Amino acid sequence: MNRRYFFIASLCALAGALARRELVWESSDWSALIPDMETATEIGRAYLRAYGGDGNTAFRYDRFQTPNTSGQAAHLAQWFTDQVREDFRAGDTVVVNGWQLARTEAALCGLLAM
Amino acid sequence: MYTDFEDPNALSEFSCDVCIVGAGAAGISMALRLANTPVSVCLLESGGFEPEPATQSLYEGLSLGHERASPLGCRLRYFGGTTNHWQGWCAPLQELDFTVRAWIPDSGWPLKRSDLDPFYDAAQSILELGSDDYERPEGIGDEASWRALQEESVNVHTWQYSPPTRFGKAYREALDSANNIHVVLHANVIELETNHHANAVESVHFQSLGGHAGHLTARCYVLACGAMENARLLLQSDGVQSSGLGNQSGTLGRYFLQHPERKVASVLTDSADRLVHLFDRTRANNGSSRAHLTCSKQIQRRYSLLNAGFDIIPQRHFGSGYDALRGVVHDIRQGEWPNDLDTRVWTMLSDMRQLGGDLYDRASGEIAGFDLVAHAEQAPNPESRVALTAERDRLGMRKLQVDWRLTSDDKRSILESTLRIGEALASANLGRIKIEEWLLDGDSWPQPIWSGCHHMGTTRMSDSPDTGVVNRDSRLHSVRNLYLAGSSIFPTGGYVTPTLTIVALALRLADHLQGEVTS
Repeated sequence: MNRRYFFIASLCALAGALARRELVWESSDWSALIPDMETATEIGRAYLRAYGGDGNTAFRYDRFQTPNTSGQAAHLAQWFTDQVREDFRAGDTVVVNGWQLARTEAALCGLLAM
Repeated sequence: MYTDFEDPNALSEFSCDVCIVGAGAAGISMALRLANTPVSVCLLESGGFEPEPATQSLYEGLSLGHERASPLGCRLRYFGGTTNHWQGWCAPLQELDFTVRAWIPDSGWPLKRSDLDPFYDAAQSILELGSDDYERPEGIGDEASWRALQEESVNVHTWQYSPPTRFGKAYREALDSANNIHVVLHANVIELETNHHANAVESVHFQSLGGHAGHLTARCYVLACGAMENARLLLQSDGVQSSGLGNQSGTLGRYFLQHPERKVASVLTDSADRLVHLFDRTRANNGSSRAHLTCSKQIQRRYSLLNAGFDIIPQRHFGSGYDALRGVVHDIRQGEWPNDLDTRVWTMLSDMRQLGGDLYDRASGEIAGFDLVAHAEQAPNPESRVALTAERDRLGMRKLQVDWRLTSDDKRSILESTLRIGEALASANLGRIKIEEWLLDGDSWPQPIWSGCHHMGTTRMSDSPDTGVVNRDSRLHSVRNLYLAGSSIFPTGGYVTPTLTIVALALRLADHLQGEVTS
């Protein structure tokens, strides 16, 4: 498996990791939780190049600041899982470097790349 | 009875009720259905019982469009036809495939799926299929995963696998022993002779490669030579109608279809076991089957999609020992004593080294990669066609020129379908997809793209003589005693392999002809 696979796997496991580590959510925590920051930012840059001008990006970043995500890590974990799942169910996905990502995941990478 | 027309002493004049040209899946199925009935049948076959390069070369032609469209490499021209090398994948066309879909121009059959259902049932035994369950497979995978997937707007269907049946070997004796079937080998049809109005065939002329000429008269004639050769024979029969026999609509040779097939994505997962259980080929119910996914009808309508089936295949191929072990475990889980236990144990023992590696990889989670492979429907396209060249073969027949054309919309449909399948897999926590570059690379198609060698269209079925070549009885609109069998009459081809439908339609036609002849 290549590096990107591990990155995607790490995003999938993010919610679980948050729960296990009992972290309190702050926006800066995202960068600490993603083991392959280089790939994440690369995907983030690709996402911003492809989708950054669609007017949606700012709105998507707002998602990470919603009151629902503050507080216990478990809440954030559940929020993230639900949001990603909802994106996939709603077809709110993007293709970045071939990967099909939920918009929320891609926006997270974009945030890290900014 | 068999006659080898290479023998210069063989009879050269024949007469019968029904003349069938071509002894492939369609022609042999019709002969089997008519065997031991009051209907006398002559079955004319270009080849013999074994492949012969000289006969096979009669398929030589030009391919102008995408590769893999030449009949020379796909079709086999001897007794049994292309069933001599087919892989045995079977599934019926789905109800949706028969309907007019507003978002697909020229879609829709004059028939409904229910018109074919009794003949699909009969085709099962001819193709030696163990199960007729083409929906969600019993005993494969886990219920929760199937339910999760189906909640995500995808449908689960199943391929069933024929052994595969080699018609030439499997039914050679049955046709020999039938008292009303006369098979003539090495009989190459070179002309359909019609009356002056071109509304009835009066006889067919045929010839061996050695020059022996024959002539046959019948009440009804059936061309069952495949989508390319059916069109070729009609285009060639231009003595009265210069554009080809039965070509009032101008559609003869057009709407040539195949099934673009290719890996569209990798599936990466931490649920490899679940994916293997759900989608790997499984032996069950005296046969083998494999589940696959399609977008639901609602999704196809919403996104204006063609139909497409998606297999999920492990990138790591398991050995025969592992397959045998999995079969034993499956049977035990079903509460049954394992089928063929001695054979399976022997297979495991003989494959012990590979089996050990397979089990280790499974246990250690090394198997995380899968291929998502699309079998796609192609939209009906009048510019995708077969035509005749000026060049002639050794029998004086004009050679074929094949121009298989895929459009940007065909590709868009595959991409959109892939995305919907990817979304369903992700929602069901079964994996994520990474789409292949070729699919994201604009409108262009990669060369080559595999087509399954599923030649379809060229003499499409329609209710109106203005839009097709044959009517719902498979008879040429304009010729009262000439019928076509095989996938040339498909107005659309769905995404499934065509053989089961070819056989079902052939059985339906045989029943119709029996009624015509005996009434």
